[in-house]
Amino acid sequence: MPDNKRHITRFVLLCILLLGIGQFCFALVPESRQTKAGHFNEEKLAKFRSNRDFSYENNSPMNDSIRERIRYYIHEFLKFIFSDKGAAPYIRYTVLAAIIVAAIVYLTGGKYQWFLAKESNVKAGIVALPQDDITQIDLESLANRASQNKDYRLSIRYHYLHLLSLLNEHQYIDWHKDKTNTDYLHEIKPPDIKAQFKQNTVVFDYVWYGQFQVNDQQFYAIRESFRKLTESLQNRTGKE
Amino acid sequence: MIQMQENKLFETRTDFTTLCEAVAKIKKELAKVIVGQEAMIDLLLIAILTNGHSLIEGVPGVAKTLAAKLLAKSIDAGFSRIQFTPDLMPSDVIGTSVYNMGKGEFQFKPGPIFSNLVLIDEINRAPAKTQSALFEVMEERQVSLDGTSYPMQPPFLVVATQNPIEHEGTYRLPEAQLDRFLFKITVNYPSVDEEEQILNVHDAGKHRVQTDAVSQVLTASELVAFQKQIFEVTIDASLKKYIARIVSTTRNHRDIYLGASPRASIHIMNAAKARAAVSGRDFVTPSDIKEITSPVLCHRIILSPEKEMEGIRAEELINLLVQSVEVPR
Repeated sequence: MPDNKRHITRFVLLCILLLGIGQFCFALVPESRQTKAGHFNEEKLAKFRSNRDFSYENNSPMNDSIRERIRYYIHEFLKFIFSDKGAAPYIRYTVLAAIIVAAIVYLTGGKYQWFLAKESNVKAGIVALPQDDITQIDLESLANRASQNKDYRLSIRYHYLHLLSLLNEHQYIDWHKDKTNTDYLHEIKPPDIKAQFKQNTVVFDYVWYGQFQVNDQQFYAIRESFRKLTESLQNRTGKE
Repeated sequence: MIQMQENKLFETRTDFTTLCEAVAKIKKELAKVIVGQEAMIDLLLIAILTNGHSLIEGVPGVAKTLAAKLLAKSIDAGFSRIQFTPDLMPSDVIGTSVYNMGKGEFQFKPGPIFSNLVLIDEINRAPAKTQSALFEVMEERQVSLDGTSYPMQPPFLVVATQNPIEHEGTYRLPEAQLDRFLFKITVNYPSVDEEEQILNVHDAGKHRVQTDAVSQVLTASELVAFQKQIFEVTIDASLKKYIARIVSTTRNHRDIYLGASPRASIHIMNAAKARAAVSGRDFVTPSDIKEITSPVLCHRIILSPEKEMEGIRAEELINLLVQSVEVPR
């Protein structure tokens, strides 16, 4: 391609020519118009630095309003936490973890049982039931804790829920949130289980929905009845 | 150790023995003539105990009117029957003022609505103008005419029958009037066995004799006392919330054009209380609520046009809605 080579050669010559013209023109500028390097006056700089109005880093908030002071201290704290020159890394991560935990507690409204171990369930009052699987909750512990606190109504509730959980586990019933106790009673086929469950259901209905008070003696009798059915279920292998 | 028998463990706070006996007697009387239809009779009895009006819907010939007549017959109280027709006027129902020549003044002549138990037969054959005459009397139990209010004597109960809206010569009842009915009781055809039993009764000629044999087993004052006793039934706060949540779902559902009113919530609660009392309990359970939700709500909601075109029934949709609400336990 001779034409291409010729064009490239012309372009290179043109560039050299332009550079040469530029150098020539710069040499023609008078010496008086050439730039001189300036120097700072150290005395003036020191005077400015001593003036509080020009001190941006250590601006004391004592003369400002309360709002400005609060903002200043928050700013200083965040700077201390997050800047490389500030707090040690472990302090930084501790503070961050505390902020995250506080946010979780605030957002969940304190209902963070799912977040912690089962032990937290025991400390709670009335536990919301999971929609599909009531075996997720340690109902026996809850029932025992409630009876220790002499809250027999709540204890009977947990005992009954534990029964439902076992019946579901052994496939005598199919647990679902919309079903009533009567629905479950219709689902149970073995006559002995059905009879015992019916008796316990009536008791639960009276105590939980009917708000009947239960004394110590009544509670022990009810708990014994629940225990018998629980044992019957645990001794069986499955749906019959 | 004390015996684990619920009747020994818990002493009922309100004794419903007399009420339960009276209900059993009425059922026995009605069963002399009506074969089957237990669900309809149960709901009718709950309605009269709740002091609520009932709307019975079904095809002709399924004992709607007969059930209402016999129920009235079993109660010793005033009874009147109004046959609704397209030319019926409001004054034919509530009454009118007639000029008394002797006294020289207008006097109010009460209409057939002034009774204790009023049977309105084929209510949806009258136009809206006549239907509106029932608004005040059904809700406020009084009739206002010429600036004077005429209160109804308790008990005042309306039992209305209607054919399905698709039938010839029927009007759709206004929503405001439908809302005043406690229940819409849908009556279906009897089963084959029940129909065979009906034929046997008629073949033996016992039907007419038995209709006359239905006797009065409850007085008006007893009924009013039972109605007051129903309010002593306890309902847990969680169950009130359960009712509110069920009713609320009808207002936020894409397949429902018009949801149920707060009056529906009140009616569900009262009917559940009556159902509990009839069962001998002085407290409500979720089963009581679930059982009566459909008859209380089915006539109060209006389905979206798409669902009506698809042939979905209100009862089916209500059952789905109830399934979406968690039972408090």
